[in-house]
Amino acid sequence: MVDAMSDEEVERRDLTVGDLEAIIDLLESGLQEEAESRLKDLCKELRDDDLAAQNDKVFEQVGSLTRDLHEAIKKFANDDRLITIANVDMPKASERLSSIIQMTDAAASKTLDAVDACEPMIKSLNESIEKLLPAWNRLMHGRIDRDNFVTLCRNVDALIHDTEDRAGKLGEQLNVILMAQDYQDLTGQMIQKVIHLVSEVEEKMVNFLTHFSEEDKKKITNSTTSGIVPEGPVVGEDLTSDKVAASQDDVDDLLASLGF
Amino acid sequence: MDKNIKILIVDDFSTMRRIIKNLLRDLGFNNTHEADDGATALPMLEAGDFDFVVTDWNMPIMQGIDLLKAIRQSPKLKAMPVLMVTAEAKREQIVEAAKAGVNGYIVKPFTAATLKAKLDKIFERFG
Repeated sequence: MVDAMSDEEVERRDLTVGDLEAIIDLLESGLQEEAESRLKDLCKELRDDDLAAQNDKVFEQVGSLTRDLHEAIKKFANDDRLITIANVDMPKASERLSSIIQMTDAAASKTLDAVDACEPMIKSLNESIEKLLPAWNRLMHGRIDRDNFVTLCRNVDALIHDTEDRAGKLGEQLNVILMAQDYQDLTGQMIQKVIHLVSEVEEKMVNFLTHFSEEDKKKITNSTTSGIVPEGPVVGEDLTSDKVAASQDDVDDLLASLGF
Repeated sequence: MDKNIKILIVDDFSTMRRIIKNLLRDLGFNNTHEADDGATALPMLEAGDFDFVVTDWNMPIMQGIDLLKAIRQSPKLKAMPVLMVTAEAKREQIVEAAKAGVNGYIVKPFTAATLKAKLDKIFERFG
């Protein structure tokens, strides 16, 4: 590239066989340094001074960029946080995402099961009412005999008890649907963790690509003022860890041991 | 137990606030109010005549554990019963909450029965 530029833009002294012979002579005499120095001088003689300066600058810049890149790669490779991200946080993020699929699946199934359980109850309630209606209408219009009235009373009595029972069961199912919605909070916390990680990796990548210096690195601030960083819902192997209370019973036992 | 006590539910997820609100309503507690993190909750507690706090741990700005500590440090609020309902299940966290003076600790996901049991236990003590 340098030669091409020289050829096109600058008047230069032609290189002679003598020039090269002189250098080869020096090399053959074992005067390595002199040979190199002569070659450098020759390069300067062969070029316009400004261009030489310009080229030197280009070389300097390339050199500096190479050093920066080398530094950045070294820093990138030795970044403890990145090692943690790769070995711990990324696998954990995968676990969290898998858990989210499981939890949303479980919540959807629980909700749909509850709806399925409600439907036959409502259907049979409707059927009971429909069966009662003709006799009830006769009563309302004062056209009912004693026998039919007694039967109607028994049927209404049965329906009242049946309805009371079903209302309780419907309430239970509504509660199941209500509780199934807790997945939104739990998966939300997990998603927030993954988003945080993705942003952190993105930032590190940007820093790497733009050769940001250490001082320019935007520090990721944590809003936590307490010494303990919240972890969110426990997933994967952590569930069996000694450090984690796997159930409400574990929590109660631990608190009991603390005098609660 | 007085069912008219004024309860503050603190959680950044509105779904969870609604779930707790519904469960409390099923148990007969209708006087419930909501805040979405500790920083919102604390001034409400300082200003209002609340009797009881149900709080999450992991929230933006001010965490539940810091809210608990702030409550215990406040001359006005220090005796207020606090129930923590959270997904944080590390032993060191439960110990930390206990040290900070929590009155009950429920891990999510939880059941209506668990909430009732913990409430009964707390009110047994506070009357």
